[in-house]
Amino acid sequence: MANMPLQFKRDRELVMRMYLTMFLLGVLYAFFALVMNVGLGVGMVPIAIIVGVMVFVQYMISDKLIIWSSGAKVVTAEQEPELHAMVDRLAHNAGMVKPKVAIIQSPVPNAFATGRNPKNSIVAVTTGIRERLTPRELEGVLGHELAHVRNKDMRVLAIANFLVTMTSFIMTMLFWSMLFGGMRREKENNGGAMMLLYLITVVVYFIGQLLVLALTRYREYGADHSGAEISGDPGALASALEKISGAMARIPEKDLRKLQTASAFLLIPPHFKGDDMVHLFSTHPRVEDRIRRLRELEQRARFGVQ
Amino acid sequence: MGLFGRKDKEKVEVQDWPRLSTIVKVEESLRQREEITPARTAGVLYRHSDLNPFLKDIETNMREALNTGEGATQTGFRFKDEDGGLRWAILEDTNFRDLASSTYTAGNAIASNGAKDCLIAAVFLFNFTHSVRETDTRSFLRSYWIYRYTRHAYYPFVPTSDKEGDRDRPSELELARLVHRAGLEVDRELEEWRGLWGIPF
Repeated sequence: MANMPLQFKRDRELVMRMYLTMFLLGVLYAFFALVMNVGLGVGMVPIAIIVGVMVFVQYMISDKLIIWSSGAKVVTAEQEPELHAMVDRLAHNAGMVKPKVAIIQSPVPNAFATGRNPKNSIVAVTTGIRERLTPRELEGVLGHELAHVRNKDMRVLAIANFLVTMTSFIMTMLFWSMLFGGMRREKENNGGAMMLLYLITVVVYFIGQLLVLALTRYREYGADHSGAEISGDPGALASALEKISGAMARIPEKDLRKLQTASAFLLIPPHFKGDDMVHLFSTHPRVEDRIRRLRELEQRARFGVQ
Repeated sequence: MGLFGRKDKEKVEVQDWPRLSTIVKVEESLRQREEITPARTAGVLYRHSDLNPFLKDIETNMREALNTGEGATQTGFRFKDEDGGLRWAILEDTNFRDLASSTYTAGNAIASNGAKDCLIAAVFLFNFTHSVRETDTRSFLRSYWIYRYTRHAYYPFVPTSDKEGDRDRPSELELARLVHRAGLEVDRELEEWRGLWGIPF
């Protein structure tokens, strides 16, 4: 799962989904191991090797999985000359190998980079983000994505996720082993120790999750900073974030006149939810914080303050 | 008293005036703080139809509604047609309270004469004397405040050109915050903030 979406909106939801995936993968591996151990009598060492191979394969093909699941289509320089020229220029500025370029047919404005190393990386943008942003702003966004690639964030995150997956695996194994007395151990002797071990794993698992969250956030700020260096224009990403984050993205493009059909007046009267109040009067704090930092960088760049 | 004078508004339509009129207090407070220049232009956008007797003879009917009788104002008005059978009633008054009242009356006159479904929006023009974003150094910001009759609430609209989709969203959000604090009934469903590109005033 080594992808680094730009995380403009619903960032928390995305992170939660990522954790859930990691947790469920751990459960899946544990289930797999249990079936082999209890059902087929395979020893723990071969199981560990098999699971290790599976995790490695998952890591190796993760970029393909992401491309496949997001519906991104890799495009050539002939198909998308402008986009390619932009990535060319940025990759040159960053002193890195140019990643593949892909487009996702989606009205939702977003972008991501993926790949376990710069050589195998891909940057993808949605059609929605291209429609919304000016070339300058899109360049800011792509700079941010290339920074993720250059900083090897996908690998860092993949390793962190691997550890979370493994903790989830061990946690589930211990839980089932206590429940069924499985794994062919004598439960009378080590029941208490097993319980303690389980509790420790649970604590480690949750701390691990918090650390990954902090790590992701930290890498995101890092990519903002080095992305600004790559594009040479901190204000471009700030302006892109302003345009497509949270509240901004909800303001429509369409003209009110187009809504005026007879049925429009039969609509249920609007109800004002408390939640909307939050949306209107506070954009996502983290995005606001990112914009603030980028604007500071912009000011420094403009006035030469160090 | 005119048939559609201000005295009638409580009888015919009680829902719009309390919400639409919140703009009067807001204009006063912003003007006193010199955040805006005095606002004196507004418009009502509606779908025109000659099949409706009131709309067919709207010029005379509007004059009667606005400028005669007990609740009369000195509000000037003119009409401007758009493609697609839409028409603007553009109102001007140096007294903003009268302007808001006349804008309400104009919409109400159309609504209470069998053309409620033809009403689209009332729009007020506020010229701010400063930008509302740190990075924006403009000393002037033209903003429209759109009141949609189907939603009974306002939202800001700052077009950056006449092309559909070109709008200054960051400024709109800042303006919404500012004006909500001043007491305006702002539509909280941002998805409903549909623009009106090419407003003729």
